[in-house]
Amino acid sequence: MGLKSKRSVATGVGAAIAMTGLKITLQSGPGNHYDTGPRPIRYSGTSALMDEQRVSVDTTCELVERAKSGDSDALNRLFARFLPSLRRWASGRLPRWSRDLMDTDDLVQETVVRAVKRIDRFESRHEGALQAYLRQAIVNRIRDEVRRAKRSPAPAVLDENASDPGASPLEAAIGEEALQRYEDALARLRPEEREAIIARVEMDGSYQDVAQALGKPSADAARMAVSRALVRLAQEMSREQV
Amino acid sequence: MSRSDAAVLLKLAESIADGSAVDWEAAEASASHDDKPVIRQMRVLSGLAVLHRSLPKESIAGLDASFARRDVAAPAIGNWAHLTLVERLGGGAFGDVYRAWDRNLERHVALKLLRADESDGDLSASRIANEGRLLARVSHPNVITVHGVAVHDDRVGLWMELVRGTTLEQQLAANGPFSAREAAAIGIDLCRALAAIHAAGLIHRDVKAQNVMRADGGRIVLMDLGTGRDASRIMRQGVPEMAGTPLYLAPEIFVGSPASARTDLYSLGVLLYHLVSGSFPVRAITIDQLKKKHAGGEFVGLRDARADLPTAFVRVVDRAIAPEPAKRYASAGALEADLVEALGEPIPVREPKSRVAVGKARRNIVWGGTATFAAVAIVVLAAMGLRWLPIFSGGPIRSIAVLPLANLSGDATQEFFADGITEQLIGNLARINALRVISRTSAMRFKGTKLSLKEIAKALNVDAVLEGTVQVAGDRMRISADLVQVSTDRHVWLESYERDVRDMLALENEVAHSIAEGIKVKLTPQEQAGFAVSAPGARQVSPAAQEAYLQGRFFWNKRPPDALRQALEQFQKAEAIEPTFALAYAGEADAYSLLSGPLTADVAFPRAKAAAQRAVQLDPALGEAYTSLAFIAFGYDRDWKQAEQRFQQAIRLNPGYATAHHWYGVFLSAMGRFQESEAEFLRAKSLDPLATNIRASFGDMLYMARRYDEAIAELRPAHDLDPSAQNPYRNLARVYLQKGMIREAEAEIAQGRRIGPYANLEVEFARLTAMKGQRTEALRTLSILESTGVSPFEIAPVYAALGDVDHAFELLRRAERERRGALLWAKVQPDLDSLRSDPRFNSLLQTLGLSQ
Repeated sequence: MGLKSKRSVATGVGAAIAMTGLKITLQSGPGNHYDTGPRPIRYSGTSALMDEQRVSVDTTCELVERAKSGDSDALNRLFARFLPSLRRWASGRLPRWSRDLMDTDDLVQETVVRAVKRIDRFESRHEGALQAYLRQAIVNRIRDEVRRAKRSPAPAVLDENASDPGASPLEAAIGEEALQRYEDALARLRPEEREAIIARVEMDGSYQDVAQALGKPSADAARMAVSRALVRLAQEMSREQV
Repeated sequence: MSRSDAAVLLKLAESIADGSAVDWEAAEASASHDDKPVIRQMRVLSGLAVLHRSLPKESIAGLDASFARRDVAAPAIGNWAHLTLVERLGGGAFGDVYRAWDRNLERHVALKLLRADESDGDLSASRIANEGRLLARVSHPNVITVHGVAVHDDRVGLWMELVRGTTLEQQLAANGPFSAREAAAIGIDLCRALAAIHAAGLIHRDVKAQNVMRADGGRIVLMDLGTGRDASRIMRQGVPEMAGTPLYLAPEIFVGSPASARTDLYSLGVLLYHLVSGSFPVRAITIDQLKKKHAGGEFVGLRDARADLPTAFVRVVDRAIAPEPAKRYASAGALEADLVEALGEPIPVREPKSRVAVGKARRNIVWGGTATFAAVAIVVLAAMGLRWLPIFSGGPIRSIAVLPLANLSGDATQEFFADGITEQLIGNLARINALRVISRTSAMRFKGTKLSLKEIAKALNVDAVLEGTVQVAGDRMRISADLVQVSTDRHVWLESYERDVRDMLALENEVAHSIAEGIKVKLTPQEQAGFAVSAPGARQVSPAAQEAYLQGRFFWNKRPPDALRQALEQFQKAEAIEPTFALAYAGEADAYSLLSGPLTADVAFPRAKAAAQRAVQLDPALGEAYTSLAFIAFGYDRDWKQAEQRFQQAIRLNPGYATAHHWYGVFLSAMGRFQESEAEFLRAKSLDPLATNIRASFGDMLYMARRYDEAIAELRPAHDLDPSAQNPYRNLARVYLQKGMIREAEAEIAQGRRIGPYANLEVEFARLTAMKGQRTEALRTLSILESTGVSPFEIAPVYAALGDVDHAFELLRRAERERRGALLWAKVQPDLDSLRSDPRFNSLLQTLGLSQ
């Protein structure tokens, strides 16, 4: 990036960012102001109109296809759809104070850009799959970052016994080992199960959102799918432990 | 009941998915045997779901801004060679200065770049290049480090170390005049910087408050040699240039004399004058006026500029700025020595003639590396008014530093063999109660040092230094050792041994025993027996296992969780190589104990205990193992009686083990037995003088004992020992706040934040805002902190300060449930005082077995 990329021809993901100034816009706050297309995408769980959902789902697959072929507008719309929840989610996964929120944003955004670059390897079944794919890309990236960040702040209190300032909120909440067990078990689930858990438990989507993301007919169906997946996951996790 | 009840599980899963509450204990209790483990995992999932739901919905703009780390994401403003320009920091006389990112070495640097329109002329270009060349000759912690100079895209760039901090001039403007003590401490650092510059044959010529940075870690850095000139060239050419800032210039410069080391020292004198008074000795508005005043000998003595300064300090500054060059200090070393004395501390070496010798020796030091850093740090410690070295005499030897034995095998892989022998030797000698033996961590800092034995002994405060060599050829090894009494330069004991490699352990014993006899130290019968070759537990350990163990301790001493994990790996590796190697298990136990935060106490401590018990089983005489057990009894079992017994047993078995004294001191401070605690800390410090952990814990103990000024004195030098560590900022801020010193606390928090975000620092920020009456701000910070998993014990006092006593107690109870380690200080921690009269506090203490 920097001076040179601005001069380069406006193709590909890098150019899209350089041209729209997306990076800076995203940092300025939440909101949807880069979603400038003629038809704003609705991503709130409040609407229950089936046809509207259909439109949305179709749009996601379409957007992925268009982004693959280098359409910067499509990419921006995908960002608008996924970044807010991914950023929020990542704030729970990053070592607690090793980064402030701005860095989290950078990391998430950069990772999503890279992941979308490789998106030809991704088969767009439905939105939930894309969400899970992007989430995994960030998990991997965080793992790399943590590995790289050799210097973590020293323990806090009286030298010993301090809680670990290098741990993520999630690690602090459930412990490092439990988190690892969770991740391992999650990876062994079937894709739909995994996606259901990610959409509801991790991304805190409404059942309506989950239904939309997984292509389920109703919020209730989504609720059942999530619950069943949770049972499966807990079984996997307990198996792991033995 | 069926083996597994799918409906029950599904119901629980729905509750997790919905986010409704579940009584997990009841659920698990009533479940079938097969379902219990699944339900336990569901409980984990429930915690995970709760955490995700609790994450802040949108970016927390306020907190974000308060961290002030916006610069990290600042967009690049261009490239130059391998550097990415991130931010313009300012403009110097000859160009612009940028913060830049070195893409090759992945680090931030400061880049001085000549403006494009000016770089056509050779003169300007060569000026920057010249500055680089000059600076590159000097390598000193108090002089900015130059990384390189190059011409690229027709622009000349000089890149150097990026010092984050403020200039002394900025600090003066912000905080007003410095105290004499602080100025003297800065002066000492600058003397060392100038000594290095002068030794390289250079003259700085522009020593002034704007050119000295105080880095965030407290390091003093002399910058900008832009007008620096090669002394020899000036001598040859005799060009009296008026470079530099006039008010700092020595009078002889105005009448055409060349700049010299003495004129640099004059400028330093003016700088010190300026720091304490905000003014200048010769005050003028124009150069002409300045010249006239110098010519007329008009100047304001420091005493007249500020009446309350200590006489000793005034005398030093007045001598440094004497109008006649001959009356001034002849060398930076001489000025430094007087500044040290002016600080009012006992001076280490005070034979009248030695001062010149010390000055000379200093110039011969090869600067750079940890040894230098340690030496500098020690000077700073001395400056901070700490207990300091006694006057040396040729008396008995009661303290020894064993320097790392040099590996003469010509084979780098034997390095750890040599280190292993050093370790064993230290270990054997440390068992002698009447002898103080410096621990390996402090001694290892002097590996490969160019410092003289005297300087090392001074830094470690020991009577004698043992140095030696190890050589291995085939299965033969030769050890030579030389014990030097420092005060007299006397070789007390000098021996050479050649043995079979397999007899290493016996030989180490023999060497230690023979040293003990050589210095006539009194051995107890048990100690005598310990030197018997066939002592129980004495076992030959393979060099590979030894190496892994030493590596483990190296990482362990660093303390951050990443390092502790590496330590754990090494200890386990040592165990794999040598399954009966007791020390390795003690190391494993200690690594787990300190990992109780990240792994949670219930996971980490049981593993620690298992390892420690194995260590004791393997070697019942191992003090290290009892130390591990004691710490577990204290930190996890909360069995105070057992903890104390084991600490004492550990110290009986190995009186020279610094960690035993350190942790015992920590334990005693939590029990409120400060006097005993202090004695343990002083012992730990004398055994391991350079350990930052011990110093930090000691500072905290002083805080708990409400000896705030001493705590500050103890904690402040921590910045110098490890500028990258954040807890010193937090701990200092905490003490300042307890003293009501808001401004100082604010400064610590701001400096700590520059290193990176750190939850406990934000706890102090919340406390600060609470104290300033900014209730909403304080509550906002607290609520964010609460959602990030910071120990509830940390934030409880802040809620108490805000008047929300109920919530404070709720948090304390939560900390108790989670077995948070810091809670062990509930009995003594000053910021909990407002809660002590509440009956709930008493019952908390009772639960902990810490009743008042």
